[in-house]
Amino acid sequence: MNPLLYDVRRAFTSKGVLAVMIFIIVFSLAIIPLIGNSQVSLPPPISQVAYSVIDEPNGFNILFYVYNSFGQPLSGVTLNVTSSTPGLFSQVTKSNSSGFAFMVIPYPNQNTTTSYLATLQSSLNSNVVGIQLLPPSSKIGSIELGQPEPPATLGTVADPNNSSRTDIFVFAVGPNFTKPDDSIYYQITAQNLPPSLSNMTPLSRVSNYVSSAYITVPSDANPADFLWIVLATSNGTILISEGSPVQSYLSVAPQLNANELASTFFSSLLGLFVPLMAIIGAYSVYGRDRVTGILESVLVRPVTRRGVLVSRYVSIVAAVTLATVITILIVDLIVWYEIKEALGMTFVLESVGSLFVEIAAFVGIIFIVSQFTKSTGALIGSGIGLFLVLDLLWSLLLALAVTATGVSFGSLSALRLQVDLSFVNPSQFIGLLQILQFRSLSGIPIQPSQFGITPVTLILTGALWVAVPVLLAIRIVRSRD
Amino acid sequence: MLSIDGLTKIYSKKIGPAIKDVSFEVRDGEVVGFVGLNGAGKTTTIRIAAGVALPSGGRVSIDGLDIVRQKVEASRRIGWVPELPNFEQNAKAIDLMMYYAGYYGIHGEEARQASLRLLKETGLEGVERRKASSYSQGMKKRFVLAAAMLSNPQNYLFDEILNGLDPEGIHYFRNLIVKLRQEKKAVLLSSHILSEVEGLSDRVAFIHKGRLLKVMTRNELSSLEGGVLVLRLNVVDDRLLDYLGTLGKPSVDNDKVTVSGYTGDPSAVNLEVIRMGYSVKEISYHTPSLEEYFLKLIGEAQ
Repeated sequence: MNPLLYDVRRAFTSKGVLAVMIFIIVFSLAIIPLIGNSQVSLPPPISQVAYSVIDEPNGFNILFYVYNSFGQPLSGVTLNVTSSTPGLFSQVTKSNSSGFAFMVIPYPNQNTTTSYLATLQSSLNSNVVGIQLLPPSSKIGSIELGQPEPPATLGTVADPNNSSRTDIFVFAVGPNFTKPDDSIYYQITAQNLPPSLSNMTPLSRVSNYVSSAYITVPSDANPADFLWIVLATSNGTILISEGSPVQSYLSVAPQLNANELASTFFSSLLGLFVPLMAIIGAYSVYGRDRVTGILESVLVRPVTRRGVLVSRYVSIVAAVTLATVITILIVDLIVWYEIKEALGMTFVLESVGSLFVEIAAFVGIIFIVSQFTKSTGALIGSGIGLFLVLDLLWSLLLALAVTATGVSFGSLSALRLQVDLSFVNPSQFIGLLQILQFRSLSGIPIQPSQFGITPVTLILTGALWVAVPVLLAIRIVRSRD
Repeated sequence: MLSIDGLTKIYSKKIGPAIKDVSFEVRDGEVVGFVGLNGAGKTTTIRIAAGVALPSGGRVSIDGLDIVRQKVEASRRIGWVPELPNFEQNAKAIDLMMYYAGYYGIHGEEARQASLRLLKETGLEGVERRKASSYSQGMKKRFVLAAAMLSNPQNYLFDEILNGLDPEGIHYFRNLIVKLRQEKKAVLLSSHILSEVEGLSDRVAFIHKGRLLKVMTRNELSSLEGGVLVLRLNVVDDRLLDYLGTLGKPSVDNDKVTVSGYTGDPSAVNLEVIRMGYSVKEISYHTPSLEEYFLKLIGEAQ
């Protein structure tokens, strides 16, 4: 029998690998029916743009501000402004390091009726936002030079210091692009009409182009009531007012369907237990053989030490990947049976790809550990330790790390720390892929590229996790008994 | 032919080398006994020669091929039977044999037939489908031998193979070694029980505390540094002692004279002493065993 196939069969039929496979399937059988038609919140889109137009003799002067879900500036984002009238106007610009971009659109002829569309294209993701500019023809003849229009943009963003909270976001411009000198007010009322300014609660002053503020919604507030936000000048002139149900302020997210929920759940389940399967496979077929001396019965054959290691590595990775694919297919059947919709092919392929990276990395790591352990007990202990630290208890350890660094939970810094540590932990690779896929981290909307999560960095990281541990193991095995 | 040249192995710098500068060779058609106390370095030497351990210095060549640099080709020419065979726990003997055969490029039905034949030759017919780990110690050694013979290698490394075997097993392996010598194979046979190798070896390599003390041929062994001649006589005088002094080193205890270091024929001494007019009450001759010689070597080494 071909030794490679023999080792694949041995890894695939090892009791530990089969047990983890069965566990994932049985667990999915129990949980997926509960998902049923349930829905959960998904964060809002990530890249947004606010703008303000000031009419000048040379045309429309537009100041754009491109920001992420925290209201923070996004640099290098391409803005493509084109007129609806073909050939009339088209210009491309990019946001600077402060998230601003500036553009001048010459006035069209008096009798030309046209509109402008600004397309926001982030360089590292495909999020696109269209912006409709007012037709200049409607303003010709009544141009009020130097006055911004709209004077401000109101919105909601995640609080950078506590992303479970929603902040009011304000982009405001004073006359002639000066900094604004306004104030923001709010009021919760049952009326679907803006209250008078005198009845509203001052929230904060707005003296920069971009600002944000948090509104404490009383716990007894009726979710159906309206939250009114008003931006007014220092002399009490209302510039802009917006009202929306309190519920929508507290939860503005669209919904995740059952299929997406099943995918998310299943990714997490696989991400948790497939590394365990890899550890068990690597222990059963290589680590134990090496520590107990069984491997010597193979080493005496016409094969090099590197050859044995590579052969077993390929066998185990192939066998555990095969076991994972079979598990995914079986669970897919369960999902299809329960919610009448199979898991998406993209999800399946991406899951298999990212889990392959995790499998390869963990097998390689166990191979390295095997070179330094002298007993099966020590090797099993190391394997369990790796599983606990890098996988099962990772979230807990991450929380401890966040606490130790003094960073607030849910803050941007905490999220960044979580992502950075995920890059150095192979069991979190599928998590990185999920972040890229859903543009969300721990339920918080983010722009993955701002955290270094892009297709390119993921491919590079995956390649490193596949190659580095096994190459290191090969290097070690060539110089150790 | 197996050639060991300046072989050194250091497991830990704290405890010094397990073997140091060990050199000898095993020629085709020759059985070399490799003797030493437990922990002397026999197994370390053999494991390096088998390619399962790496040397810290020196080299081992198998039919001219370096076991480290030309591992694949060299390993085709080696059959290794360790003292405590160790293999995959849950595999059936026939499956393991076919798996090992794959490494020699023997696959499919050819591998099955070769495996069955070798298992039969080594006395494991009828138990091929049993888990090899459930075999007795003797059966395990036979199984490992069968696996070692898959490539019909020119060189065999037997590490304490007679240890823990029943009489039938010992008989089998003794006959096997004789057969291998007849087939012009090179056999290195290690043991810490010297009597085991005494009758089988063409040469004996003595190792102690990691250092090779001496390599001796069978003839050299049979004419070691002489035996001990003991005579009891009616009279012990200077004339007699002068004569015995030409044969060895005499010492007197009443009517008993002990001559150590004598290498000749004791009956000739008996005749000569009678011819000289002495009455011989008793004469005995005792040659030292390999074991005694080895202990003497160790004493000198220390």
